[in-house]
Amino acid sequence: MSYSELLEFDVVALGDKLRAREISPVELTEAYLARIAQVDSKLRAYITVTDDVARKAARKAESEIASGEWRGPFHGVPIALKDLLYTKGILTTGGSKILADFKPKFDATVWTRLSRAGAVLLGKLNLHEFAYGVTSTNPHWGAVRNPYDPERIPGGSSGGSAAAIVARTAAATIGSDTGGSIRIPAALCGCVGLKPTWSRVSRYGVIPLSYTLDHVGPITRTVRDAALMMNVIAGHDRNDSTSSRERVTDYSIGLDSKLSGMRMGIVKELNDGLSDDARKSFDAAVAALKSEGVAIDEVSIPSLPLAGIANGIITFAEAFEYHEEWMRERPQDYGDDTRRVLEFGMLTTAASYIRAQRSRARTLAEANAALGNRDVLLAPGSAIVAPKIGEGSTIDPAAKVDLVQTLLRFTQGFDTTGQPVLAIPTGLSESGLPLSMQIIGRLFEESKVLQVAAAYERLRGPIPPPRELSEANTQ
Amino acid sequence: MLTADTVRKTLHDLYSYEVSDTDAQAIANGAGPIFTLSQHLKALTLDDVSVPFSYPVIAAEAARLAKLKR
Repeated sequence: MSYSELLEFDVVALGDKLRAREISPVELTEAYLARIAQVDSKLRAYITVTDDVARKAARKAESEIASGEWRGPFHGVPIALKDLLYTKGILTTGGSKILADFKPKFDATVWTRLSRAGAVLLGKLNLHEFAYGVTSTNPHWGAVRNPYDPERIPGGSSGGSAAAIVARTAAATIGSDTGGSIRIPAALCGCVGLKPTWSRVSRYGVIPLSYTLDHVGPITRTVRDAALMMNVIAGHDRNDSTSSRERVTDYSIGLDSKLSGMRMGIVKELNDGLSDDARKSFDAAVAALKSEGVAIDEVSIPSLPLAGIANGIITFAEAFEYHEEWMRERPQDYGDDTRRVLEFGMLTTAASYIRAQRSRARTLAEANAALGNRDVLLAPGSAIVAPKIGEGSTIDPAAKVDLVQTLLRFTQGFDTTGQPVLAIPTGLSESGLPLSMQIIGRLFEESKVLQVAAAYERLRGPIPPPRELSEANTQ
Repeated sequence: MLTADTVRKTLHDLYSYEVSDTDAQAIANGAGPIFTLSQHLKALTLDDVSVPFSYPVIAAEAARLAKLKR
């Protein structure tokens, strides 16, 4: 089997073929390392490629599988982690200059679990500095490029995680989401991103941005891969006191469910301000769901716009608390945009922080009421396609449209409520760039979100890969 | 309204953190509108919302720290 053929399998298919010994973990890992060598100097999705670690793990997986010790669907599967997750003895930079030489003494729980499941670590993925931004234009490690158009941003902060999935330089990746950092890059790059319920996945060993808003979750090619990854990483962690003891279900069950008879609500507060492309794509997705017998109406979460403000205030305060010492001692080592938002945190009052925290219950109550007897809620993943790198914070100076707020508007509110949300591609714009839809569920109902997403994914069919990627694969 | 003077003085007095006039103005321009909008959170009628800090988490964290010290 050629390298390019190996790179086309999702994790589910890889798991089956690895277990059946139709493909070898060593061969698969070499295919991914070759692909990284081929394209990553252009994409900058990786900060560190762990060739030796990957080859050693692949050989071990091969030996174990050969002797009948199969650990599950991730055994021998090459993955990569956002460079915000601690990896023992391996550079963990947070995308910063501040931590440019930092090698943790322990692993993040998420990596511990994936490693025990037999996953092969290809490396650590580039991001917006300290996860505090939405472009992944990193001043220290290079601007991550969108595989669909390298002149454009991949979104952020988990830009490397999404770019690597679409560029076929990792089979699955991990991202984190505080204001939209899993879903925005998934939307702009054209892959699946799941922000689980807050506390569903351990944050132990994950460099924090905002303690009470940070979520860790999968970025994958397919919905079923996201479900498989959740099966490995979800669940209580005694090292993370905030992690939930809520029962973990098998997320891969029910992914073949039909949509007929389901009820869904479109979030009114997020159903405007879309570009023509985004409007057409979202409406087409909704029409496709209706054609399958889904009853869809419009619902309101009146305080959702304010939940975005609350998200900003909470993040200002909590991020600055984490960064205070470095901001006092070496502010010049931050990129301009990250330093600027940390400066906002210096000015955030305790009263506004506590008020923002209290407001979360109000918005969640409204979201729960909006869900009512509906299965899930729907919203666009982004109002726009990926902007060009260097467009700055303003995409339309005359209209005073702020790029950051344009992207965050659709995602921030659900970090504030902590609900599970999955971003799934809805197709490509006329200019050939990905567009996306969000599927929003009740707390701890990731299974329902995944079921709806899987059914929609079947309905939608495959998304054309990036042109440059197709060309590279034929070489 | 947040002014550049307020920004410069607050950062200096609270953190001994110095910023140029240009940066102070940019911070005021960026943060000011968000802080103003955050005042609208009061309109959500939060009187009946309890303070969202969890004592069980504090207790669990204390137990975890005690184990680490052994």
